[in-house]
Amino acid sequence: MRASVPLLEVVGLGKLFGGVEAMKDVGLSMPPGEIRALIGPNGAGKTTFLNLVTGVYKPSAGSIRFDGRSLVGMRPSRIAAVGVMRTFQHTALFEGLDVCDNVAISAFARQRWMLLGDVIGSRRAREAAAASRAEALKWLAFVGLEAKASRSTGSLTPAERRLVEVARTMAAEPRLILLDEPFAGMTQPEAEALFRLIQKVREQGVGVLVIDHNIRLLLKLADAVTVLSFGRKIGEGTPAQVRSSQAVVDAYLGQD
Amino acid sequence: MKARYAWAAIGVIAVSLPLLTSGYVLYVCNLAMIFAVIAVGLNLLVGYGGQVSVGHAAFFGIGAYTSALLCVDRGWSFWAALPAAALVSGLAGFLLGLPALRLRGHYLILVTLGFGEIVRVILQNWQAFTKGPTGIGGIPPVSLGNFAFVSEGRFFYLALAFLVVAIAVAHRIAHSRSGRELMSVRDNEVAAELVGVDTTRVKLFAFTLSAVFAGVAGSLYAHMSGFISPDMFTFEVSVAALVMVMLGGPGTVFGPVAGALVLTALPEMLREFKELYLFFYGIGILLLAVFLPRGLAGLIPRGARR
Amino acid sequence: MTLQLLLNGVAMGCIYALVALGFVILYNATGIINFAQGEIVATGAYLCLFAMSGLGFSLLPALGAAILMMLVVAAGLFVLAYYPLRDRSVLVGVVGTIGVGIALKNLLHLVAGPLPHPLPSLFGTGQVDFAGAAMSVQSLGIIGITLLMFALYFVYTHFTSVGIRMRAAAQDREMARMVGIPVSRTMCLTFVASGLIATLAGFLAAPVVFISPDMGLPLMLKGFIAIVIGGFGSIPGAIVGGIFVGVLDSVVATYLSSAYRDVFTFLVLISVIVLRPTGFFGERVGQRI
Repeated sequence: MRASVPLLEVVGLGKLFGGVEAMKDVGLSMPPGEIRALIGPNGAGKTTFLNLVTGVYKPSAGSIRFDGRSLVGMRPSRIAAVGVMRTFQHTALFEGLDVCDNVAISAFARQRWMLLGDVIGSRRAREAAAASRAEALKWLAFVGLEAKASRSTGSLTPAERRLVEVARTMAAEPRLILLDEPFAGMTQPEAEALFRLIQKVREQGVGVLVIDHNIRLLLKLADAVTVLSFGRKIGEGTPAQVRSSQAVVDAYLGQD
Repeated sequence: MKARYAWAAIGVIAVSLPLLTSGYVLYVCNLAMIFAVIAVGLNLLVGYGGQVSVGHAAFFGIGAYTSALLCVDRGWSFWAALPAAALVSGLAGFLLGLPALRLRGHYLILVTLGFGEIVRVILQNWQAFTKGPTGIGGIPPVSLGNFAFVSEGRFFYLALAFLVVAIAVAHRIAHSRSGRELMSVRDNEVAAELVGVDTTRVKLFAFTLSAVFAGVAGSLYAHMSGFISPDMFTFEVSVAALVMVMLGGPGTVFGPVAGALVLTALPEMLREFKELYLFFYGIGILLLAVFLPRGLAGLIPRGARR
Repeated sequence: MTLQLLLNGVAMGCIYALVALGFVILYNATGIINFAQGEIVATGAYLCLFAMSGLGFSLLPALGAAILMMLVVAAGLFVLAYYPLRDRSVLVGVVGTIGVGIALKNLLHLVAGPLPHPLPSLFGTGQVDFAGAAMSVQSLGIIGITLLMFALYFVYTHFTSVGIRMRAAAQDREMARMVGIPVSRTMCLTFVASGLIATLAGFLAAPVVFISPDMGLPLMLKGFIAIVIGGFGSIPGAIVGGIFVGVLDSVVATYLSSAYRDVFTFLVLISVIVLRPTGFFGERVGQRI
């Protein structure tokens, strides 16, 4: 078996905000089909890392390669189009659209844009939109929310909102999804359901990078863990290795 | 089900209006319908897309002048001049939107403000081309063969037809993929971009389309009125269009129509009291913004809308 | 000759800078784009006029009286309009402040009539010789007062406790609230300050552009351009941008065409927005997720 190209390969990533070095020399390499946890105390730069990979920020240094191709300088919608999708720390749903359309949005983006068709309401355009909506429904069922498809986003519980975001990422047929604190504020049963869902996602062949503060859950879930502190990498390895790493313990204790 | 009967009733009333009233009332209705076309188009950009433009009178004016000049100077018929007006104003919208929509919302406001002023000043001063402040007169009415839409009653049906088409197009778009993407940009532009929506393309689409609608309305206006001049396409008109969108309910299909009806009828009714009317108009707009940010549609319970 | 032209351009630019300053501090504090800023400047000018012809003050005391009256007017406007609008969407904020502007303009029209009124200049019409050119004292005076105003504002917001709180509240309302700064009161103060600056702008502009109900819009438009060129949300940008616009306007009007000067300045606005939207000192266009 030939050496496969890593799904996500980040080398020497750095980011300056004004004069502040928010990130320095961070790197990681994810093979396809892995669940990777990115942990670290508050302010470690985890969300910054996510923002750099998804094109919200431009790196000041370093490279980001997805499946061998560089993501640096690509606009976010393009990064999503090549297969990198994400969720948001404070769920970002489209409150004016119903749940199904919220998920369908990412499926729409994969269709060819039919300008004239949308304006005159041509059958082809309507069928394409309906196909995307059907896709969306399928992914809503995947996360267990197909019953809420035609409801408004206001009818969702906070945990359900996160699930809709996950469905939205999957409807784009991604190869890698980045989850930003998906377990935040969840009850035990909700967290367990999300836990199993992430494993299901991996079974679909999609790589997952998770950021969260629920270390216990993450260490159980992940195949590999990368630890950040103050924008630098201070540890990496299997959950067991990281759990027993002195550097990691110090970083977290240092927070108090 | 009840909705169907309501629409049928409205349809019947609308169609028979010229038989029930005459002259001045019909003139106001015609003017309102022309503005409704602008408002429906602007609503796509503002209500569905969440982008604010305070310069749409420019596209209204570009459409009016294009149509008027082609007919008066070159003897074109309305039916040829109309698509030309739509094309020219659409192109203007596209060219303006291309750079402007890449930036944050408040820059778009200032760019459209500036553009509106630029167009007004050019219309006023480029005498050789636009005939300057004296305007263009003798614009021929719309005619179909020997049938000329000269009277208010006849023009009513023409305007009504255009309005119905405009509403139908807006309705189609709202439910289409493009419409949904537009709304996602309105609700959370950053998130939309990150889930794969080409936000610049979507905004440009809405902006250009709204310019086309305004251009078509301009052409209609020129041929209804027979005379146009630069002071008909001012910042105040841009503001009025925006208020119409807000008043009726941004992001609804019929909101802008309602807004146009109210905002056209009112000044006509209060003509003589110009500054006093305008003072209350200003206060009214402020009250609207403070108490009814979703417009009249905000008064309708949630489920019935959409 | 050119020096004189330049000077007058800079002076006019200072007036635009003051308009811009009033606008920027309000934007920074409330996030509102105040489409009534021009009308508030006009209101300030009319208050000066009223203080002179209605109450019989002489010029400088009239400015003082106008400032006192503006305190009341601005507080009222804040409570009735700007405070309710503070967290609304951009569309609602724009429409709301446009409404305020329309109401103010027409109120002025109803009360004072449409005819323009001049206001005598504080600095008279004299001239001073410098490097062989005759420089208008009025222009020098306007520039001086504007610089003084900006300096005063800087001192106020950096060295007085009230001012420092104003700045903090402007930079981050949530943080300010958590730290215990009374945010709404501070916002009101900022708005009132904005109104006072506008009054000064109106006072200085009146001898040049004449007081009329329509005087607001052109001043506001130039102020907007100044803000974009200088950097949206930046206070030093307001003065740099204002002077730039004033000089540009002057030069275009004299050497190119008086009628198209507005077109030219707007084209510059659009170019700056397209090429360098952050202006010289403006806010970062970056986003937080």
